[in-house]
Amino acid sequence: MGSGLLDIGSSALLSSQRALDIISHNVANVNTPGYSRQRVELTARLPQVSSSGFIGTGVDVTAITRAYDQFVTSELRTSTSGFRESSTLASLAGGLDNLLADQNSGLSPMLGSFFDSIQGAANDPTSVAARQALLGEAGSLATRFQGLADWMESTRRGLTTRLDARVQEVNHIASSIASINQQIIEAQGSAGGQPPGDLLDQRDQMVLELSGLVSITTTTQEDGALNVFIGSGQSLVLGVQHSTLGIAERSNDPGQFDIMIGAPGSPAVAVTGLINGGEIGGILRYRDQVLVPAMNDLGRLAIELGTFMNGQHRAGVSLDGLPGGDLFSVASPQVAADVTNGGSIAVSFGDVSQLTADDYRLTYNGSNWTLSNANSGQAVPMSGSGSTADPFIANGIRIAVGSGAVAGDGYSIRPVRDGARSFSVLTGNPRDLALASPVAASAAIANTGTGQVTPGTVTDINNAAFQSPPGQLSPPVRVRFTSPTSYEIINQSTSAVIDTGVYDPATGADVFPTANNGTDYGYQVRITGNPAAGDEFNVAYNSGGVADNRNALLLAGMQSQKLMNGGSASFNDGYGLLVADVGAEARQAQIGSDVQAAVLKQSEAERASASGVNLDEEAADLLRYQQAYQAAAQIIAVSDTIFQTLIGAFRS
Amino acid sequence: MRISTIQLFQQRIDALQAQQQQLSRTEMQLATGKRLVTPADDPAASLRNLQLEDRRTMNVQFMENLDRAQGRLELEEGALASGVDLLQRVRELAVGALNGTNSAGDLQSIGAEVRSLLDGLVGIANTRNANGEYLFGGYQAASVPFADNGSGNVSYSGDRGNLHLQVSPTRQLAVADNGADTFMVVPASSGGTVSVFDVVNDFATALASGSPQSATLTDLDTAMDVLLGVRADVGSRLRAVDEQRNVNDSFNLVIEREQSDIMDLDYAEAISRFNRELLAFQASEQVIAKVQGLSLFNYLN
Repeated sequence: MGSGLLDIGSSALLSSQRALDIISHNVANVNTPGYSRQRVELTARLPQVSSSGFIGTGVDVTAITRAYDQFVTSELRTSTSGFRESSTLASLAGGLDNLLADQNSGLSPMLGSFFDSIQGAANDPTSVAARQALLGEAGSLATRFQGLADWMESTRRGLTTRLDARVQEVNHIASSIASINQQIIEAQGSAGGQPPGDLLDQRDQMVLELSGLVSITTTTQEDGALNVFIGSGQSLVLGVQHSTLGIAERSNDPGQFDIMIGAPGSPAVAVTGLINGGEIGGILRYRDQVLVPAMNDLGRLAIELGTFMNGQHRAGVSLDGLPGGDLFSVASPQVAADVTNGGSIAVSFGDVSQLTADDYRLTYNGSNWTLSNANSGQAVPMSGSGSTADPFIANGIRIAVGSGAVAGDGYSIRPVRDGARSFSVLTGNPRDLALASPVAASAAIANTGTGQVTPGTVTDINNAAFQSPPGQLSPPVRVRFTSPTSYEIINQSTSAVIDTGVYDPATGADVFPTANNGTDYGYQVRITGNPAAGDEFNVAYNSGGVADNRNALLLAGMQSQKLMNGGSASFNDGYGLLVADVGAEARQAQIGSDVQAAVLKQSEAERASASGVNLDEEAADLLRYQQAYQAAAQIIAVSDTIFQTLIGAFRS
Repeated sequence: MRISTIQLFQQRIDALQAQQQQLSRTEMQLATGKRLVTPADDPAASLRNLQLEDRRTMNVQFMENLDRAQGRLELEEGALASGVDLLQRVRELAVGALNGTNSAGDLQSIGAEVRSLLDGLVGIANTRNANGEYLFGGYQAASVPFADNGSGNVSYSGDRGNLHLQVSPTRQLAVADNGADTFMVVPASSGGTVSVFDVVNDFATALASGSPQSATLTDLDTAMDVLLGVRADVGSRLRAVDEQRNVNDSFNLVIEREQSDIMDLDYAEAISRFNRELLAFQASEQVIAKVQGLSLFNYLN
């Protein structure tokens, strides 16, 4: 009887003490990240049977549990991955947008002042100072192109370093999870299947940190170990084993790094495209969907601007009467051949206004060549046969296939990647700027009619009339009216009649190509008014035409001409579209990040609500179990009193 | 819902930080006077602003082109006015020479004056601007366009090109008239085409031989008409410069207004927002200071 009282008392004392221990543990870990508050589970001991019924025997601590919700925990991981991905993307894309759209650092103001300087030179075609200013602005434009390209390239390099650091963190966490798995298996075994709450908390916290780096999925084994998977199910941790992540530069795309995963004892494979979520996912998305396309877009702009400016500049003549050369250097398409290739290809630009910002893959299956978009994998239709004379043509590029191609040959083609970095000014002497037109047509002073002739416009500078030899017009031409309604076109050098034409004073006449035999010298002159019989109009090379700014006006006019995107956008529009694309990505990422932040906050609140320690609650529990402890001690004291009373009864 | 202690602290810190972010943003807006602190704040608006800025600077360049056009045209107008004045003087001399009361010596001395006026006229036709370009040389502005062969025969070696300047995205304005059109094509009373110089030179030659012709007056009038015609044309182009300037000005206003709508801060709204945010922030701080001290442990003694 008395021993029952002592047993019950001591069981109560013991369990209260356990409960107080746990409360202290909770209070001690109030600020520990990932800690789940613990509780003692109390159960009444089995009663003794007596004739008068069941008599209780005290209390047992049956388990120490942690307040834990599987659903909330996995929600928290998902929202952590989502938030870190979108916030990383938002801050990176925002940075790029701020650079590109800024009135000072962007390309737009430079583009504007470059064209302004052409107009400045057009205002004063004889002024070497105005020409020098044009060259200065062209240089600034080139520097800005290169500066933006360098910034993007060094950002890409920085991202590689950052990726590498994050990948090492993943490895570190994966190895920690594998070793804590080992401890959990052992602890759970030795405790007869009781879960080791603090170890589980630690592991959950590691997994949460991992979710911040990359999206993961998990499964729990019977023995308590947690398996972690990334990407489309590549195992990162399996029981007590873990795989290793690394980064590797693509052999056919220098500067572009893949994420590799290597399970113990097997070769590493690239999983870049499969990985998402977390900071790593954010970095990859920014790099592959925002930064590299923006690099290409900027390169495309540089190539199109350079090509069109060069084309027009070549159609002019310099202050010294010489044909214009290239104003800017234009990059060639970047081509990387696979190492196993048998043949070779030559890639060049065709109609640059058709260029896109895409990268391509060209592959050969033994009988057919296929061009596909490097990102989407979608086939890109090509015209032509692939020979040098009739190359494949697709989206502004021309591909001529050499001999020796074998099935499996492949090429990575990045037509515009180097455009911005290679953009530089080729013309150094201001006198070489070709602001005048090579054609000068004028009415003879002795004419008696009122016929007028336009000074002439170049339609094709590559025509033999301009090119053999360059620097003169071969032949110089005279249009002589044989009557007010008919004229003949005469070679001024030989006096031979080239062709004849009929003239209607009401409509005037474009002289070339000539009416009967279609002679075309690569320029056009238009006669209007009422010429009299015998009137002459002479077309000659414009030597000494220093006050002629016709070509400068054409160069300047390219500012508002729609020469990009197949003729739908001006250069500034083209740059605007790039900024708009990056801006939209940045905006979208920012909105996504705000949404994810709210979701994350909600998940964190749910987790804290379910698992977090509340000090007031613990204080109340402390009181509760302190009182229970005091009561239990009283039971032991009473049992002692009863015992003493009994002893005393025998003594007396 | 159960609240954990750490959550309580976190919530307070989060709330304070959110308010602080708002405050610092408003502060930046007030400091810069711009609605957008960075382009990424509103990519669509900053893109539009970029385009407007492009149009605006283009317009600024057109205004500069107009100034240059005006300068060139005014210089030409001045030269043409001198040419007309000079022809006017030759005409006065012609009227005097033809009144039939002059001796052979009188005619000789009038002839000498006409000849020196011819030199003056060639000088005017060879006027250069500040850059050293010959105004009436066509594109061939670097070489002397008009030359006297020594016996009063003036030939033109320029071409018939006229410099044009771009004064709006779609408009080019001629800012020069070549020497051929200005001086070389006067319909002669005797048929055919002569130059202004021929008319004066023929008159001087006739005076030297003592037999001035009355047809000279007609030819001088025609020559003057040609010059006056070019001058009127220059005048109308100068008016076009003014008109275009007005057009560009109002275009500029439209652009600047839209830019201001997009980019500029509404100060009244921003200041009242700033005050509101500051008040809320101070209130939060006070609430936190009061609540922070509450804990059941304070009473467990």
